[in-house]
Amino acid sequence: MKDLNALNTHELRAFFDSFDHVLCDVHGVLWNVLETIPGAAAAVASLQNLGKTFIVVSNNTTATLDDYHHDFTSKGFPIKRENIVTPIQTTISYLKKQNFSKEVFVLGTHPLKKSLRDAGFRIAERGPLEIKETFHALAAASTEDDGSVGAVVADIDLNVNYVNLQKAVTFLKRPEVIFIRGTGDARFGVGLDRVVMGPGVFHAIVEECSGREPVSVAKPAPFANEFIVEKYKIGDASRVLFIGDSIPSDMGFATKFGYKKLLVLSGLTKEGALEDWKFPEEYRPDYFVDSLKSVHDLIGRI
Amino acid sequence: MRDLSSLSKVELEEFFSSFDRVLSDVDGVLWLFLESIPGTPDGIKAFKKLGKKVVFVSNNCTKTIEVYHGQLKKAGFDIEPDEIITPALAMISYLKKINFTKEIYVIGMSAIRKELQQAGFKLAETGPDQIKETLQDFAANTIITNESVGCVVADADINLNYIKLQRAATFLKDPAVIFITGATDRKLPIGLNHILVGPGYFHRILEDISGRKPYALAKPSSHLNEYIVERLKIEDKARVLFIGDSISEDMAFATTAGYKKLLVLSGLAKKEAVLDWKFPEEFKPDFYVDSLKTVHDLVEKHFGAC
Repeated sequence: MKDLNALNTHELRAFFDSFDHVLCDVHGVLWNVLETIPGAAAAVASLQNLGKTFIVVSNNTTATLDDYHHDFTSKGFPIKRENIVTPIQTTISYLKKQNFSKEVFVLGTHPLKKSLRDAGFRIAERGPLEIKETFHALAAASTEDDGSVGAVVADIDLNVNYVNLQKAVTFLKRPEVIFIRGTGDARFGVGLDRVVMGPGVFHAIVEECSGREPVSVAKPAPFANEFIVEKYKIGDASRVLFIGDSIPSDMGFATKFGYKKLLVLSGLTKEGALEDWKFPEEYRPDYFVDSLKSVHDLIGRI
Repeated sequence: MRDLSSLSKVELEEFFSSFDRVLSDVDGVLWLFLESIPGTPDGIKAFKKLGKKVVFVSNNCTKTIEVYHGQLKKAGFDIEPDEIITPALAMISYLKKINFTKEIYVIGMSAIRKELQQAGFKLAETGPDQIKETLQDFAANTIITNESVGCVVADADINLNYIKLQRAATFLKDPAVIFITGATDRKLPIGLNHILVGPGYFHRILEDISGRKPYALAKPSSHLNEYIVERLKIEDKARVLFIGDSISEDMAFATTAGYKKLLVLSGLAKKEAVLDWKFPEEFKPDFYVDSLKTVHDLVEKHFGAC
């Protein structure tokens, strides 16, 4: 593991010549909860000026591609619309590959549903927000299945409720119904210091009650990588640089798929974790750096 | 484990003389969720004819005792309101014992709320059925401080959603807030073909995220039995017969309590479960029977009309 800041000019040139594509995580790399990371936008521009294809890989399903792209550009990041990968894109890709034409039952956000509709898919009707307080009513609202639903997509749904979880289970009783899992952490952070239950806890209920295992389409699932390799025509994984702030998640993902690894210390991971390495040996990044600002400065040196 | 219908008259006499009191589960024994089980009111009548005191013990808090009583009477069961016990009553008893005066955040439906309110407890506001799809709105509705909340009661709520559940988890971060659970079924079979997601899954989420174990007041928890023993003044547990259809819930409960056990096969447990026993040895019932109707038929056959 080398500190990028400690490389001499010759070594830096060799480093920047060693990859053509950059796959970049968002949180902790480009911005944090409350603010963008100083110098990160400049680094994106510099890397693109060096001829690198800069691709953002995020598990954010709370915005359509257009809105997310707008979010980046309004914050000063010159990221191209076609270089943003989220579970929304991978879900659509998966369904298209199955030549899917039935209805999709979605436990997910409005942007996810809108994106699916724009891609030509029909969205199944959701169960009611409130039902009469009897198990009869629950059964009536959630156990009917006329066969029109051909896929269940489980992602983050802040309004998920009992009825809709039960509907998902009902549809999944038919083994031909596709089961896709998008963004689904068991916990997530809100604001600076609160950890709340994540969508993953609800996905677990659907999986257990239905007995079905979903196809995961969010990072770090294999399908997410398949999507990236196919879309960006990546022939040689060793010529891809993966930049992230999480060792288990980002470095793990990059290790699994053979990418070069750059760990930034501007997010989840701090320097101490490097000295006191608690993770699998193979997750060790090739390089680490304090933040993308340094990457920009170092490019200026070569 | 013996099939009650295989007993001789002498053995049946011995069986019926071995207990004075019957505690019977409701769902799966007296009726099914959405339909009746033929002949079960006669089964209860048979026990009463033989002089046994009968009390129903159910984990179902989705009906008030009053409503439960009305439904049971209508279905032909001759029972008084004070002969029905649910976790709601045990919760009220427990909270009164510890002189609880703060607010209770309830994951539960109108029935359990009504029972708690009628017992004099104040209930905290629950969350909305829908929020704007933003993390800000989510945080505003779930990460709230309410010093008045001193207890979270997690029972079954058909209208449970992410917001209401996370709100409970937020309250449970304070170790001083009491954590009580009611029915913890994972799966609820209804009719022939459907299994509903049970409240137990949501309780598990609360346990996982809070790192806390609840004070459980539904079968098979022994705390429910503490309430039953006190309320019914049970002195000799060996002279109590517990009837249920669930091995993991009813037989487990009765085993811990030291009661005699009769497993009926009219609900959750089927004959296969008995023949190919996959549960702890000690949960094995003394006897099993097809349904309460068979109990009636046996009593009528050997001891005359009920």
